[in-house]
Amino acid sequence: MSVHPNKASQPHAELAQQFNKDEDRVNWHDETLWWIRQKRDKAAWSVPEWEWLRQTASDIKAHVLSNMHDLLTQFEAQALANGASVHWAADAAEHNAIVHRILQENKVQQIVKSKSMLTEECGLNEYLHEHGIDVVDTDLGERIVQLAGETPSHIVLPCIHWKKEEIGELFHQHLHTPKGNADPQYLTGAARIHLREKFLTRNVAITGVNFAIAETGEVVVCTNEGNADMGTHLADVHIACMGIEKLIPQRQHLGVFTRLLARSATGQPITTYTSHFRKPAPGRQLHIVLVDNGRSRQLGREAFRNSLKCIRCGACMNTCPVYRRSGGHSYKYAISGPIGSILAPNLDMRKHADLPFASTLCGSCTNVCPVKIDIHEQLYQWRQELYKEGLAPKGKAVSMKMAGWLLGKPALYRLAGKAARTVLRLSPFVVKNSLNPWYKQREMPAPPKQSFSEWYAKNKKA
Amino acid sequence: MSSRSKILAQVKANQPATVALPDLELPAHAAQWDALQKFVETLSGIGGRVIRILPGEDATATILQAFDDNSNILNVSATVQGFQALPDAAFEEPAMLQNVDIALMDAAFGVAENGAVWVMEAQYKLRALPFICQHLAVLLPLQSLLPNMHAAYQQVQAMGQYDFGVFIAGPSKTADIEQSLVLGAHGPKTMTVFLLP
Repeated sequence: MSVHPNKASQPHAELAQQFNKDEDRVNWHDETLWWIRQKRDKAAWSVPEWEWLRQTASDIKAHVLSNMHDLLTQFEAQALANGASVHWAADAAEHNAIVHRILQENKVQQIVKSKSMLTEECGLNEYLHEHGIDVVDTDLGERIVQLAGETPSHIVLPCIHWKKEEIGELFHQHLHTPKGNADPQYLTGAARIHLREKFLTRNVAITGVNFAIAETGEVVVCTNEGNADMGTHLADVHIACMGIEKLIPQRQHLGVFTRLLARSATGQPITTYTSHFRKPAPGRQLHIVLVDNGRSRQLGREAFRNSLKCIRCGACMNTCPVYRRSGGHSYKYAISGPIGSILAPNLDMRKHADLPFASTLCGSCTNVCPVKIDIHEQLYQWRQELYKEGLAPKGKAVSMKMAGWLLGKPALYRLAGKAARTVLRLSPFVVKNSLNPWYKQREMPAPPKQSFSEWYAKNKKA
Repeated sequence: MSSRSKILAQVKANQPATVALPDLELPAHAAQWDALQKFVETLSGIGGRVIRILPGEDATATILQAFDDNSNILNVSATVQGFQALPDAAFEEPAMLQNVDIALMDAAFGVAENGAVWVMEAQYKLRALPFICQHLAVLLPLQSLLPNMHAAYQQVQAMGQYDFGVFIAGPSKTADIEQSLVLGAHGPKTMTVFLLP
């Protein structure tokens, strides 16, 4: 639990191994996420036109990606006409500097922030902290990990890796709740009081953006807690930070996306609040920060372009057998799980070269994705890119090379198979040892007495 | 070159050939249901409360009955008279509304498939109100119920422009602590929808 995702340097497999030391905890993590996946299924199956919604959402996003230049300028013009300020940030550093400048212009040093994976991606909290700004994350799960000095381990469920007893202890230390009280109702009540005070007194609120509508220049923010609304409506300044891929062409397209988002994320029919910010309230400011940070590059990578369709529901994480049993922090990136493993290498191929291998390529992610991103196929594509760039994990690169060489020589392959079967029968420790990653948490299957070719040759005659 | 020009230039260079927008017409097998039944069932399922006001019934009395006698009700609805009015000072300092027990407002329409209601700032006057109150009460004409979000956005479009508008579906809630559902995260702890004849 002490892993800070941006600071850990070990590869995913090693961090996953650490996470797996506590078997009961891993099982609990696994089962909790699977339960959310099942709630998603129930919600999806209650809508007979679900597959039509997925396809339509995917097609709308395909249009957005193909027309992004015009939609961005249309959005900007509309937002300006609405009285918002629009800022453009080429990368994370520029995004952070823009936000800081707005705070300086308003002479504000204490702010509230609701959930925004973009600001996590940009490391905004850390940057502002270094510049003497106090940021309070107001989503309950995000506040919990913030008090603990961590970052979220899941984009929708930030503290899914925390047990209530541990949260009780954390709140006892920071919010002075009675020691030993781990009742979720009570702890949420304590957080409500603690965060209300922040909402009522802080004058700048940062939010993320779920959807930005080119036609009207408005931004739409979805929460269950109401923290984005409590923050923004009680502040003088609202800063909405968004990746440029959050655009949708028209307001009517929200009819498709609002039906998919919460059902895919948590199995709810819709989030409690779906807030449409078109104009700033009289006398107040609305700033919209449009961030590229590698997105325009990903747009040009044909194999990975579709990853920009993502609406950040988290369904691919909840269903992923690797994510469920390795925890979000083992990915060392703000967006963990299958979709994060496609997005992260786009930003830094060398740093995140381990992530496309943190997958069984089972395709469950692709099956649940509400915008039909071919997630497991892109992970497979990334592996090929990484081999080409010489960035694949060492052991894998060597074994794949050897396998390729062996498979190209049928006679030698047959001989090797025979030898392996004999060796495995006589001295199983050759593969049942700690040097073989496939033996971790697994029993090796008993070696067959003969190969399929041998069996076929014998039985064909009979 | 400014970041704006740089981003736009790279987007233009990298975006693929134009893909047409899809048709939004619902397929024939799309869900259909009794709007009233579905709305009540869904909103109740997500922690909301629905109270029907029957023709000829005194709405004010029903509203009073639904809450503690001692609760203060701040009324910004145009449908029902009485109760407390929104103080002018709240526009300068919305934080002063933190002790409002119940906020009563009109909703434009409801959505059967998810139990949400659409409210616009122009209707309820002050943006912060439905979030900062301890309990939210909404008046909703029965005939305004729409089947799904596609119909909802058509209606939003037909109603003209807004500065701020929000779909609200039930009380504020969280399940961040071990997935235990708790109603009343930061906003209202309860939501009551009064269905008007």
